[in-house]
Amino acid sequence: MMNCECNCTCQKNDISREQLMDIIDQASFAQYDMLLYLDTHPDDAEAFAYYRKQTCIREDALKQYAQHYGPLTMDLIDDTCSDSWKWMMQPWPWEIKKKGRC
Amino acid sequence: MWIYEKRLEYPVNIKTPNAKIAKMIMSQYGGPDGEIGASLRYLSQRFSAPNRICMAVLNDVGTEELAHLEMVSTIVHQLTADLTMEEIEKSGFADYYVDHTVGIWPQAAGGIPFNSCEFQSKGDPITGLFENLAAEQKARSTYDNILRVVRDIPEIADPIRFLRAREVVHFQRFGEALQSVQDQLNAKNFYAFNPSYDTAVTKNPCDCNTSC
Repeated sequence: MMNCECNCTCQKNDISREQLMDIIDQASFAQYDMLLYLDTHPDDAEAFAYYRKQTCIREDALKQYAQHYGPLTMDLIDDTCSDSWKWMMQPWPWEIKKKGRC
Repeated sequence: MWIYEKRLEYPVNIKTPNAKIAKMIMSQYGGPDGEIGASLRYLSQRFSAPNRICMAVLNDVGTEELAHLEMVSTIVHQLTADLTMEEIEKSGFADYYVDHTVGIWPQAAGGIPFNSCEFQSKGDPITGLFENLAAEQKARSTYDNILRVVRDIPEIADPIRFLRAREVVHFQRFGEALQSVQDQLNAKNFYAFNPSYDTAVTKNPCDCNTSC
């Protein structure tokens, strides 16, 4: 098990899909931006620690999302605890959220 | 290789179609300074990177551009999916519509199809990095142009502002990559030889401390 000192709130059941996706979006963006920074500043220990922290938050939130809503990557398909092929059946990110559409 | 993650790098939720704006934004998909060109430019150039800092920046920025081309095409899709025939005819979208209906196909706003002439991969890392610095500025300018038109439509302006901000950050990273390449060359003559052709890659990862 990872010991990341996440302090994640995602364990609670009252977090909505949108809030969980927000956490994933923000942690993922912080992580990726830091990845680019570390490519040119590989010795910045503080940056690397921040990267690890965001990775932890992101991975935890992705797992939570997979459990409650659906897998966002193929590696999370096993975390859905579901026999249905959610990878295909859950909405795709470009779909228009409007009445009359999926 | 690439793994797909089922979300956009930044959310896009556009409720109101607009063919005129879609046609403009299409340029950031398949146009001369668009995200497809950016992605292919960096992912092609990475093979000629002379050190691992340069390889990493080209690979990782090129990968992020894939996420951007996905966002731009999503924006165009959401702006056009529910267009009526009347809106299509009145908005100057008919030329595109006849060949693609409201499907997504990469071209510039002016109609030139996406093609490799919209980027260069010169096989020379200094040349490439200057090309990339310019490319990020060109993209930033294009987003500035788009924002003049959409700035008061938050559902469109929001993701466009995000994409514009990323161009500025990429510009910064390419500057640093250029620095890393120049640091390994003779300061009296950066152009003495092409480090991607005239010599092999200079360091393996186990040797990396501060200068890869």
